[in-house]
Amino acid sequence: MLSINNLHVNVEEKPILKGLSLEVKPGEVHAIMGPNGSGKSTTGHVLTGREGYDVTSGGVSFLGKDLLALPIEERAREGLFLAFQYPVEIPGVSNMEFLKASVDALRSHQGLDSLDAVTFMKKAREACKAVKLDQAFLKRGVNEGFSGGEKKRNEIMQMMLLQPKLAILDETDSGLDIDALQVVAEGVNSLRSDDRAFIVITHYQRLLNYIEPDFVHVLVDGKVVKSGDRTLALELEEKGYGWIESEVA
Amino acid sequence: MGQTQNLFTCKANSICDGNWRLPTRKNESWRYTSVQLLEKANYLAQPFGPTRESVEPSIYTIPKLDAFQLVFVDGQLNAALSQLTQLNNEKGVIASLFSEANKNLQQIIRSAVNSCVDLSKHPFALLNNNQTQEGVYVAIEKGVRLEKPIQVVNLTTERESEYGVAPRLFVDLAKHAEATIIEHFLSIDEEQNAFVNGLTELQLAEGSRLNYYRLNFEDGASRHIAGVHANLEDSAYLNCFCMSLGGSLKRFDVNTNFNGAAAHCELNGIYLPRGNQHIDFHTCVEHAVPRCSSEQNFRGIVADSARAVFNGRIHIHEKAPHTSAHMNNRNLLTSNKAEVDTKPELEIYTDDVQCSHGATVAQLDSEAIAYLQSRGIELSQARRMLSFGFINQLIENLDHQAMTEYLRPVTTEFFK
Repeated sequence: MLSINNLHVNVEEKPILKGLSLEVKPGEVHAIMGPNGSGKSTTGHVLTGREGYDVTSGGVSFLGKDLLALPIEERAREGLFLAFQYPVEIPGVSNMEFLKASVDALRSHQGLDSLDAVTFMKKAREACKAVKLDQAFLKRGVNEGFSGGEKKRNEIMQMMLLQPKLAILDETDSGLDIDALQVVAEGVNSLRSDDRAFIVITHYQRLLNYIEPDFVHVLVDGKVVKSGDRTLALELEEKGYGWIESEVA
Repeated sequence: MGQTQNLFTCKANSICDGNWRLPTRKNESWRYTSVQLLEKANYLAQPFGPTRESVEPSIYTIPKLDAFQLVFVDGQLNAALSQLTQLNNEKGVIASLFSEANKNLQQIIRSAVNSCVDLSKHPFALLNNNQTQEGVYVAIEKGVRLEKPIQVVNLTTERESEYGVAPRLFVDLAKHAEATIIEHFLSIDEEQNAFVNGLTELQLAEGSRLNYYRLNFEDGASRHIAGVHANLEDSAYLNCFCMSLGGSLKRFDVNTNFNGAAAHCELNGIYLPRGNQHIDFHTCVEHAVPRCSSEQNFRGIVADSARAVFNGRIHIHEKAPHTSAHMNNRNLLTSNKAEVDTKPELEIYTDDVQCSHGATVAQLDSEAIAYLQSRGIELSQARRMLSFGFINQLIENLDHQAMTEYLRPVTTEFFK
């Protein structure tokens, strides 16, 4: 599904990713862990096509297409979704209006008609319910005045509605209390299926208690230095990132 | 008509003396807005033939807003479309055309007009005094709360030759009276050759409350220069919202004078010039007495080769301690040729005040665009949504849900 091949990325001329490779197959859940500044978030951003990330070598193919050649919106339409670590606030544009535009754009790409307002509202309400977000949030400006936890749940709500083929969660667990963490994890788990994959980017293994990954990769200084199953995450928690860093060095 | 003209001859005869001149750009408050093109046209209101009688009310009716409508076509009241009598019959309300006022009311009107406006500073207010052929006087008696809004509609048509209209409105709220007034300006023909020179005065007695909306929506080649001047006595409250789009030249002076302590005003506005349109807002809040507060929020999006001007002045006098005055002006430019001249002015002559003023000119937030795109939304649509959102923030906060619901689609349509 996703194949990252020896990816090198600069941010403001500074190398951040230095030869990242990763294979993700349908149905799999991959966790990417690593210390601050190791390139975790950069990985998510460069995959979704955010500006300011300069790919100097390597490539990414997604469902057989050259992902990096696609404009941002095309990537989303092909089924890629990033749950942002810091979702942006857009006052004046209601959450509902935003979600409708998004759902319709994806449907149009699949050759489907726009959803009528009633069907859309029903789906949107269901998605809110699934992440325990009050329906009033649909009428509010996108992320406007939402608490940190509400923003994260709003991201997961969008994911539920858009049903991506590959979802990347960028430190969705940061700043969440246990209850919110469980809500997020339940959302993800309910979407797990044989034809859908997840990349969970996290600093802590805590989230992985609720979303059990098939693979855990440790990112240090811009590349994967160690991969394993979920016991690797537990080991990391116990020994800290210093252990890996010294082992690699 | 003869009677009406008599109302003003004593007050404003300088035009007749031949002393009146169009302001030039050497005049600081007209520095960014040239009105010299009016010179070619005859900007004086001219006597003209009968006005169009058949007008479709759906053009100006605000859905879900049950209002007393006073409909003027090219400056003249269309009685059949208006509910002036019903309004006047409302308990605690006096409503009359200037021309139909009885002797007693004439005297009241004569002493009221020009009490809120400084004619020496506003040449077009002076011109209005000389040119106006009709006006509306609305008074709400002490303690009366008029639930139903009053919608004063000014429609302009295309006439055989260029013409001027000088609409006039005086709102007189007695102590603790409450009302909502909507001044709604629209053109009903695609081709326009009207010059509208409006003057509105709002007199708010102690503890009174007024919601005032002004929608300046004439399009085509129409020109509209107007002033809104308010006097607020003790603890009065004015909530003023102006929105301007369309037309070739628009200029609005919104002036608030605090004459009594602890009064509050909110002045909010939206301007959306595009093509070669020019829209200018000049606001001035005179904090002359203690403990008053003012909030101003003006936002504009300037597209194509259009130009906008915002000049917001807060003047805090020596005898106005404990004043709170805030002003914010935000602009988006969506083209390289678009221009905005924004000038916040703050003059403070006393200590112990809370003030802020700020003006920004920016492009759309690239991070927000990327966020929308990352959800599959086309770049062009993302830009439209963000432009709409920028303006919609002020519309969502209006006191009347019906106004929000009326203006939201107007705005959406504008960004299509």
